Amino acid sequence: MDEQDRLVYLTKHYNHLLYLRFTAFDALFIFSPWLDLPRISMSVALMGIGICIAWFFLMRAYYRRRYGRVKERRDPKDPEDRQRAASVYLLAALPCLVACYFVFRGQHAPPDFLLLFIPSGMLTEALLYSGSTLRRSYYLVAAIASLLIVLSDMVGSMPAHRFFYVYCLTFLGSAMLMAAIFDHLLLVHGFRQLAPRTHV
Amino acid sequence: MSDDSSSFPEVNRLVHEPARLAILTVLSACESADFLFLQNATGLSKGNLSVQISRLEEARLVYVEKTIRRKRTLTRISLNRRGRGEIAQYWRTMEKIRQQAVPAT
Repeated sequence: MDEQDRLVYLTKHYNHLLYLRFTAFDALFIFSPWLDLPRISMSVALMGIGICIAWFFLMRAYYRRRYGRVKERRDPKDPEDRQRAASVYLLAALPCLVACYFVFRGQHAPPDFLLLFIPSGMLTEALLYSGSTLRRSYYLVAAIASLLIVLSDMVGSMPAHRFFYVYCLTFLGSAMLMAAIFDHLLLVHGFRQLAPRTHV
Repeated sequence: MSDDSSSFPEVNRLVHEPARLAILTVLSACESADFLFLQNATGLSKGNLSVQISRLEEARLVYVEKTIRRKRTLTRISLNRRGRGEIAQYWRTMEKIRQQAVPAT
Protein backbone atom coordinates (compact mmCIF):
# COMPACT_ATOMS: atom_id res chain seq x y z
CA MET A 1 0.00 0.00 0.00
CA ASP A 2 1.60 3.32 -1.03
CA GLU A 3 1.06 6.78 0.46
CA GLN A 4 -1.95 7.66 -1.70
CA ASP A 5 -3.62 4.32 -1.04
CA ARG A 6 -3.13 4.75 2.71
CA LEU A 7 -4.69 8.22 2.60
CA VAL A 8 -7.67 6.94 0.62
CA TYR A 9 -8.06 3.87 2.84
CA LEU A 10 -8.00 5.85 6.10
CA THR A 11 -10.43 8.46 4.79
CA LYS A 12 -12.86 5.98 3.26
CA HIS A 13 -12.88 3.63 6.25
CA TYR A 14 -12.38 6.15 9.06
CA ASN A 15 -15.92 5.85 10.41
CA HIS A 16 -15.69 2.05 10.35
CA LEU A 17 -12.54 2.03 12.46
CA LEU A 18 -14.25 3.71 15.42
CA TYR A 19 -15.87 0.62 16.95
CA LEU A 20 -14.25 1.38 20.29
CA ARG A 21 -17.36 3.53 20.77
CA PHE A 22 -19.34 0.32 21.35
CA THR A 23 -17.01 -1.26 23.93
CA ALA A 24 -19.42 -0.57 26.81
CA PHE A 25 -22.01 -2.74 25.04
CA ASP A 26 -19.30 -5.39 24.56
CA ALA A 27 -18.53 -5.19 28.30
CA LEU A 28 -22.21 -5.70 29.04
CA PHE A 29 -22.13 -8.89 26.95
CA ILE A 30 -18.88 -10.06 28.58
CA PHE A 31 -20.12 -9.64 32.14
CA SER A 32 -23.67 -10.84 31.44
CA PRO A 33 -23.26 -14.28 33.15
CA TRP A 34 -22.35 -12.53 36.40
CA LEU A 35 -25.09 -9.92 36.08
CA ASP A 36 -27.82 -12.56 36.24
CA LEU A 37 -29.68 -10.90 33.38
CA PRO A 38 -33.14 -12.50 33.70
CA ARG A 39 -33.45 -11.34 37.31
CA ILE A 40 -31.81 -7.97 36.97
CA SER A 41 -33.87 -5.05 38.26
CA MET A 42 -35.22 -2.47 35.84
CA SER A 43 -33.31 0.41 37.48
CA VAL A 44 -29.97 -1.41 37.19
CA ALA A 45 -30.72 -2.38 33.57
CA LEU A 46 -31.58 1.22 32.69
CA MET A 47 -28.44 2.45 34.43
CA GLY A 48 -26.36 -0.04 32.43
CA ILE A 49 -27.91 1.09 29.15
CA GLY A 50 -27.39 4.72 30.20
CA ILE A 51 -23.69 4.06 30.87
CA CYS A 52 -23.35 2.38 27.45
CA ILE A 53 -24.95 5.35 25.67
CA ALA A 54 -22.85 7.84 27.65
CA TRP A 55 -19.70 5.86 26.76
CA PHE A 56 -20.67 5.94 23.08
CA PHE A 57 -20.96 9.73 23.07
CA LEU A 58 -17.77 10.15 25.13
CA MET A 59 -15.77 8.01 22.71
CA ARG A 60 -17.31 9.79 19.74
CA ALA A 61 -16.24 13.13 21.23
CA TYR A 62 -12.74 11.73 21.87
CA TYR A 63 -12.35 10.61 18.24
CA ARG A 64 -13.67 13.94 16.96
CA ARG A 65 -11.23 15.91 19.09
CA ARG A 66 -8.26 13.64 18.46
CA TYR A 67 -8.63 12.70 14.78
CA GLY A 68 -11.42 14.89 13.39
CA ARG A 69 -14.55 14.21 11.39
CA VAL A 70 -15.15 12.76 7.99
CA LYS A 71 -18.43 12.66 6.15
CA GLU A 72 -18.59 9.58 3.97
CA ARG A 73 -19.20 9.94 0.30
CA ARG A 74 -22.29 8.20 -0.98
CA ASP A 75 -21.68 7.01 -4.44
CA PRO A 76 -24.29 4.66 -5.94
CA LYS A 77 -21.58 3.14 -8.14
CA ASP A 78 -19.38 2.35 -5.15
CA PRO A 79 -19.81 -1.27 -3.96
CA GLU A 80 -19.21 -0.11 -0.41
CA ASP A 81 -22.24 2.14 -0.44
CA ARG A 82 -23.88 1.93 2.95
CA GLN A 83 -27.46 1.48 1.84
CA ARG A 84 -26.54 -1.37 -0.45
CA ALA A 85 -24.50 -2.99 2.32
CA ALA A 86 -27.38 -2.64 4.76
CA SER A 87 -29.79 -4.32 2.35
CA VAL A 88 -27.27 -7.13 1.71
CA TYR A 89 -26.86 -7.56 5.45
CA LEU A 90 -30.59 -7.78 6.05
CA LEU A 91 -31.09 -10.09 3.11
CA ALA A 92 -28.37 -12.38 4.45
CA ALA A 93 -29.42 -12.27 8.09
CA LEU A 94 -33.18 -12.59 7.89
CA PRO A 95 -33.41 -15.93 6.03
CA CYS A 96 -30.79 -17.26 8.47
CA LEU A 97 -32.92 -16.21 11.43
CA VAL A 98 -36.13 -17.57 9.91
CA ALA A 99 -34.48 -20.90 9.02
CA CYS A 100 -33.02 -21.25 12.52
CA TYR A 101 -36.36 -20.40 14.05
CA PHE A 102 -38.08 -23.25 12.22
CA VAL A 103 -35.25 -25.72 12.91
CA PHE A 104 -34.90 -24.98 16.59
CA ARG A 105 -38.36 -23.69 17.49
CA GLY A 106 -39.69 -24.90 20.78
CA GLN A 107 -36.17 -25.33 22.14
CA HIS A 108 -35.07 -21.73 22.34
CA ALA A 109 -36.45 -18.30 23.06
CA PRO A 110 -36.47 -15.66 20.29
CA PRO A 111 -33.47 -13.75 21.78
CA ASP A 112 -31.26 -16.75 20.96
CA PHE A 113 -32.00 -16.33 17.26
CA LEU A 114 -31.37 -12.61 17.44
CA LEU A 115 -27.77 -13.39 18.46
CA LEU A 116 -27.22 -14.56 14.87
CA PHE A 117 -27.24 -10.90 13.87
CA ILE A 118 -23.79 -10.53 15.51
CA PRO A 119 -21.86 -13.00 13.28
CA SER A 120 -23.89 -11.75 10.34
CA GLY A 121 -22.86 -8.15 11.06
CA MET A 122 -19.22 -9.16 11.42
CA LEU A 123 -19.37 -11.03 8.12
CA THR A 124 -20.81 -7.92 6.44
CA GLU A 125 -17.99 -5.85 7.91
CA ALA A 126 -15.44 -8.37 6.60
CA LEU A 127 -16.89 -8.66 3.11
CA LEU A 128 -18.03 -5.11 2.40
CA TYR A 129 -16.24 -2.59 4.59
CA SER A 130 -12.86 -4.14 5.39
CA GLY A 131 -10.76 -2.57 2.62
CA SER A 132 -7.62 -4.38 3.76
CA THR A 133 -6.64 -8.04 4.00
CA LEU A 134 -5.71 -7.73 7.67
CA ARG A 135 -9.06 -6.25 8.67
CA ARG A 136 -10.95 -8.73 6.49
CA SER A 137 -9.04 -11.60 8.15
CA TYR A 138 -9.80 -10.71 11.75
CA TYR A 139 -13.44 -9.93 11.03
CA LEU A 140 -13.81 -13.24 9.20
CA VAL A 141 -12.24 -15.10 12.13
CA ALA A 142 -14.48 -13.21 14.57
CA ALA A 143 -17.58 -13.92 12.44
CA ILE A 144 -16.84 -17.65 12.15
CA ALA A 145 -15.99 -17.95 15.86
CA SER A 146 -19.19 -16.06 16.81
CA LEU A 147 -21.30 -18.20 14.49
CA LEU A 148 -19.88 -21.40 15.99
CA ILE A 149 -20.50 -20.12 19.51
CA VAL A 150 -24.11 -19.13 18.76
CA LEU A 151 -24.82 -22.39 16.95
CA SER A 152 -23.18 -24.52 19.63
CA ASP A 153 -25.37 -22.76 22.14
CA MET A 154 -28.45 -23.49 20.05
CA VAL A 155 -27.57 -27.05 18.99
CA GLY A 156 -27.52 -28.87 22.28
CA SER A 157 -25.83 -32.00 20.94
CA MET A 158 -22.58 -30.21 20.10
CA PRO A 159 -19.68 -30.85 22.48
CA ALA A 160 -19.15 -28.35 25.27
CA HIS A 161 -22.54 -26.77 24.57
CA ARG A 162 -23.19 -26.46 28.33
CA PHE A 163 -20.11 -24.31 28.68
CA PHE A 164 -21.13 -22.11 25.74
CA TYR A 165 -24.70 -21.98 27.01
CA VAL A 166 -23.48 -20.16 30.12
CA TYR A 167 -20.71 -18.11 28.52
CA CYS A 168 -22.13 -17.57 25.02
CA LEU A 169 -22.61 -13.81 25.48
CA THR A 170 -19.18 -13.51 27.12
CA PHE A 171 -17.52 -15.05 24.06
CA LEU A 172 -19.54 -12.90 21.66
CA GLY A 173 -18.67 -9.77 23.65
CA SER A 174 -14.99 -10.76 23.68
CA ALA A 175 -14.99 -11.31 19.91
CA MET A 176 -16.59 -7.89 19.34
CA LEU A 177 -14.25 -6.22 21.83
CA MET A 178 -11.16 -7.72 20.19
CA ALA A 179 -12.32 -6.63 16.74
CA ALA A 180 -12.93 -3.11 18.09
CA ILE A 181 -9.45 -2.98 19.67
CA PHE A 182 -7.84 -4.19 16.42
CA ASP A 183 -9.77 -1.49 14.54
CA HIS A 184 -8.49 1.18 16.91
CA LEU A 185 -4.90 -0.07 16.58
CA LEU A 186 -5.28 -0.08 12.79
CA LEU A 187 -6.48 3.54 12.94
CA VAL A 188 -3.64 4.71 15.20
CA HIS A 189 -1.05 2.79 13.16
CA GLY A 190 -2.50 4.22 9.92
CA PHE A 191 -2.15 7.81 11.12
CA ARG A 192 1.36 7.16 12.49
CA GLN A 193 2.49 5.80 9.14
CA LEU A 194 1.00 8.71 7.25
CA ALA A 195 2.07 11.73 9.28
CA PRO A 196 5.85 11.86 8.77
CA ARG A 197 5.74 11.03 5.06
CA THR A 198 3.64 13.90 3.82
CA HIS A 199 5.30 16.44 6.09
CA VAL A 200 6.63 19.28 3.94
CA MET B 1 14.32 21.79 -21.56
CA SER B 2 14.78 19.07 -24.18
CA ASP B 3 12.24 18.22 -26.87
CA ASP B 4 11.59 14.79 -25.28
CA SER B 5 10.40 16.28 -22.02
CA SER B 6 8.18 18.82 -23.80
CA SER B 7 6.20 15.94 -25.33
CA PHE B 8 5.17 14.87 -21.84
CA PRO B 9 1.59 15.74 -20.96
CA GLU B 10 1.12 18.95 -18.97
CA VAL B 11 0.70 18.44 -15.23
CA ASN B 12 -1.37 20.85 -13.18
CA ARG B 13 1.25 22.27 -10.79
CA LEU B 14 -1.36 23.44 -8.34
CA VAL B 15 -2.42 19.82 -7.82
CA HIS B 16 1.05 18.30 -8.22
CA GLU B 17 2.52 19.94 -5.12
CA PRO B 18 2.79 17.12 -2.46
CA ALA B 19 0.88 18.85 0.35
CA ARG B 20 -1.99 19.93 -1.90
CA LEU B 21 -2.04 16.53 -3.59
CA ALA B 22 -2.40 14.86 -0.17
CA ILE B 23 -5.27 17.23 0.73
CA LEU B 24 -7.03 16.62 -2.57
CA THR B 25 -6.53 12.84 -2.28
CA VAL B 26 -8.18 12.83 1.15
CA LEU B 27 -11.05 15.00 -0.05
CA SER B 28 -11.58 12.89 -3.16
CA ALA B 29 -12.24 9.86 -0.92
CA CYS B 30 -15.01 11.50 1.12
CA GLU B 31 -17.86 13.97 0.96
CA SER B 32 -16.15 16.39 3.35
CA ALA B 33 -13.50 16.35 6.08
CA ASP B 34 -12.75 18.78 8.87
CA PHE B 35 -9.52 20.70 9.38
CA LEU B 36 -8.29 18.39 12.17
CA PHE B 37 -8.70 15.25 10.11
CA LEU B 38 -6.81 16.82 7.21
CA GLN B 39 -4.08 17.90 9.60
CA ASN B 40 -3.75 14.37 11.00
CA ALA B 41 -3.88 12.70 7.61
CA THR B 42 -1.45 14.99 5.82
CA GLY B 43 0.92 15.66 8.74
CA LEU B 44 1.00 19.37 7.91
CA SER B 45 1.20 22.13 10.49
CA LYS B 46 -1.91 24.25 11.07
CA GLY B 47 -0.42 27.25 9.30
CA ASN B 48 0.80 25.31 6.30
CA LEU B 49 -2.49 23.45 5.94
CA SER B 50 -4.42 26.70 6.19
CA VAL B 51 -2.30 28.28 3.44
CA GLN B 52 -2.67 25.27 1.15
CA ILE B 53 -6.43 25.16 1.66
CA SER B 54 -6.66 28.88 0.91
CA ARG B 55 -4.77 28.33 -2.35
CA LEU B 56 -7.09 25.53 -3.32
CA GLU B 57 -10.07 27.68 -2.43
CA GLU B 58 -8.72 30.57 -4.52
CA ALA B 59 -8.35 28.16 -7.43
CA ARG B 60 -11.98 27.16 -6.81
CA LEU B 61 -11.14 23.49 -6.33
CA VAL B 62 -12.50 23.18 -2.79
CA TYR B 63 -15.38 24.56 -0.82
CA VAL B 64 -14.68 25.71 2.74
CA GLU B 65 -17.50 25.95 5.25
CA LYS B 66 -16.94 27.52 8.66
CA THR B 67 -19.46 27.10 11.44
CA ILE B 68 -19.33 27.81 15.14
CA ARG B 69 -20.22 24.98 17.50
CA ARG B 70 -19.96 25.36 21.25
CA LYS B 71 -17.75 28.44 20.90
CA ARG B 72 -15.40 26.53 18.58
CA THR B 73 -14.90 27.09 14.89
CA LEU B 74 -15.53 23.97 12.87
CA THR B 75 -14.00 24.11 9.40
CA ARG B 76 -15.27 21.62 6.87
CA ILE B 77 -13.62 21.27 3.53
CA SER B 78 -15.05 19.51 0.53
CA LEU B 79 -14.11 19.10 -3.09
CA ASN B 80 -16.38 20.77 -5.59
CA ARG B 81 -17.16 19.37 -9.02
CA ARG B 82 -14.24 21.21 -10.58
CA GLY B 83 -11.90 19.90 -7.89
CA ARG B 84 -13.02 16.32 -8.48
CA GLY B 85 -12.49 16.79 -12.19
CA GLU B 86 -9.00 18.25 -11.65
CA ILE B 87 -7.80 15.43 -9.39
CA ALA B 88 -9.21 12.81 -11.78
CA GLN B 89 -7.50 14.56 -14.69
CA TYR B 90 -4.26 14.71 -12.69
CA TRP B 91 -4.24 10.94 -12.15
CA ARG B 92 -5.04 10.33 -15.82
CA THR B 93 -2.08 12.54 -16.77
CA MET B 94 0.21 10.74 -14.34
CA GLU B 95 -0.88 7.41 -15.78
CA LYS B 96 -0.09 8.67 -19.30
CA ILE B 97 3.37 9.79 -18.13
CA ARG B 98 3.94 6.41 -16.51
CA GLN B 99 2.94 4.60 -19.69
CA GLN B 100 5.26 6.79 -21.75
CA ALA B 101 8.10 6.24 -19.32
CA VAL B 102 7.81 2.44 -19.13
CA PRO B 103 8.97 1.64 -22.74
CA ALA B 104 11.92 4.01 -22.36
CA THR B 105 13.31 2.19 -19.29
